[in-house]
Amino acid sequence: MSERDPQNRDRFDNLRDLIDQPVEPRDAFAGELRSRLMRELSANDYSREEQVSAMDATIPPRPPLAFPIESPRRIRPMVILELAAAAIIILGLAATLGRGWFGNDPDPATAIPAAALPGDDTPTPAVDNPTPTEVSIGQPTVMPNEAIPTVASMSDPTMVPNSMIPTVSSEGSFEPTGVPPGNVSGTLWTLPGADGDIVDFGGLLVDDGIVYRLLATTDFVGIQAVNGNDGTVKWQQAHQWSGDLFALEDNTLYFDGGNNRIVAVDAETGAEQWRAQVEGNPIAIAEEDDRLFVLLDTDFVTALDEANGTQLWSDRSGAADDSPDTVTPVRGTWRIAVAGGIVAAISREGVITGFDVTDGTARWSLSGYPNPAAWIDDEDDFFVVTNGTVPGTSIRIDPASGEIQVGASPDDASDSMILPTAAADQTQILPAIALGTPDERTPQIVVGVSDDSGVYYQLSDGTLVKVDAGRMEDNDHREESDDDSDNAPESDD
Amino acid sequence: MIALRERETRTSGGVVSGAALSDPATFDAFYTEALPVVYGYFLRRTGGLPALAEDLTQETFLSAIRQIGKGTRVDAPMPWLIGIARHRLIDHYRTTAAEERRYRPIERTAMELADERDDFAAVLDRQQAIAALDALPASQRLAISLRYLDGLSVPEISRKIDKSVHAVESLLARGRATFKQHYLEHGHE
Repeated sequence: MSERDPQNRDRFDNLRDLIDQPVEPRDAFAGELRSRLMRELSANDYSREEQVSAMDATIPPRPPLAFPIESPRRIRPMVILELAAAAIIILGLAATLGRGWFGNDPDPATAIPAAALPGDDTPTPAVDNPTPTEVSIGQPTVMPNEAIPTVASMSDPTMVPNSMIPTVSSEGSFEPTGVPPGNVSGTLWTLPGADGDIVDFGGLLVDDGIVYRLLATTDFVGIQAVNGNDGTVKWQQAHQWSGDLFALEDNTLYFDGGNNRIVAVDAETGAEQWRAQVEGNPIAIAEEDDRLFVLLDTDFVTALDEANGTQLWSDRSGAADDSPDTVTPVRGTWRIAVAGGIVAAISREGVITGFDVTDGTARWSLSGYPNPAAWIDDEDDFFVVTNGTVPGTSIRIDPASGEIQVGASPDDASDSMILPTAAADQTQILPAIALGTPDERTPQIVVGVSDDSGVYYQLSDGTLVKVDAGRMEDNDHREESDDDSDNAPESDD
Repeated sequence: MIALRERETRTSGGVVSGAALSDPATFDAFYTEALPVVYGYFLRRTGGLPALAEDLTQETFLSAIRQIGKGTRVDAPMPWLIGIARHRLIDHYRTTAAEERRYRPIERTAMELADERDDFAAVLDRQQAIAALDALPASQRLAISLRYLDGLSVPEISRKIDKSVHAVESLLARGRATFKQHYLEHGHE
């Protein structure tokens, strides 16, 4: 598209002269502002002996300053430099004392301490682009000797000299040395969070026996990959992240890198592959035919080349005239799905739009779906939109036409957690677990995922727990339930 | 009434120092001339909201005074002040864009874009044009304002508002279409 539209050249180019004119504000405002500005001037320690006429004025030779963008949410440059200097000094002292920040971090230089406050998307200025550890493809990151976890054997009691070393309970032989909160039966291992106080979690995934979690503590912000069989840390890489997006497709992790960026990271090593600037904060992602489809919090749907993040097209999910009043959706429940050559997404105002995957042409839209907790999935080449607040309510949409087919009935999951799994856009029903008598110190389950070997729970105190679902005798185990009503197939129209 | 651009040119001469502005008479003269320029700048770019325009005007002048107090040398005070105002406008958009979003149905948007080739009033009515600009969604109004009122190029806008060139062009296309639709629908009221 040309920079200047010849069709509207004359009309819009005249807009400035037509409407852009000075306007006198209210007298009261003008007077109050004048008074305040005079007070500001008086407060400046400026010598009156230097007063000269306006045309002949000279100013002491100081370099011109760029306009500082004075926002209460930004950190001034000098503070940034001071923070960076302090961080470097602290790192140097820690290294000198022979104690890195992270026992399992292969390269302390990449384990950059940063403070990410909950809800704060401002990148830590000192670590705008952390350099990931250089590793060869196919070779896992080598852990320092002191970080190699001790696996309990039949003859060696489990010792835990380092808080980062997970405990492993072999079947029937030893009691877990790290007692999980609430003494959850069937615990296989526990892994504390990274050093520092937990500030935020970004997500939890499991794929091919590796658990990935997005963490932010007072000392570490980034991704941790954990071996699901024994709870050892495979790799840990510092990455600035934000929001709720955390997804895994074709051995690549995707997450919100903050400042309207989506970041792709090699799931094998944690090394960054690419980052792409998009027109909003990414909140959901789908993949098909080497293309990524990203839903942004601006309701834009953006298609990216999976190999390098190059934008292929971008368009916005619209709204109909009769759309309901704006509701505040539950963050993280918006979804995007691909089926039948159509990518569909739900906007924040409950409008579902179907875009052609090849060029982003909007094919249909459905309005009046105001439920803020709805999510959309692809199932058997149809879109299924589920009402998250009213179990058992969903609609099925034909991708080609946008025609609604009513009648799908998901399982009632009122006493269990329904959570998205890592690779597939399918929900799983995971057993709820008791964490002991709840009080203010009892950690809460933040998120859980599962694979064939067990269930992984991320707790609010940073602990990652793996539970053998087959031994959870005290918990509602739906995966092997004999109750036919729990596994009733969905009715077909 | 002198157009904004002329005022920028006429008041661009001379060197204004903090010492000069601290003189009440000098400051009063500068403030008197600059206030309606800055206020009018914001009023047209914020949907005609006086309260918001006042807030942003105040922020602009305070920022300018603090710069002067630090010894910033200003060779062209009015363009310099408008530059500060533009920064404040973009910052405001960044922090409030989520709350000011509006949507158009897909079918209507497609029709609007196609109608860009139809005849459109060769000479716009000022009041109708102001109303049409005020009616734009914030993101479209920002793009239209920066492009056609501030005279920035698409790449310049892309850098300032941290969006891709494609996204900016899309906003401009939608903004022109929305502007035209509102202008034509309310042209005879």
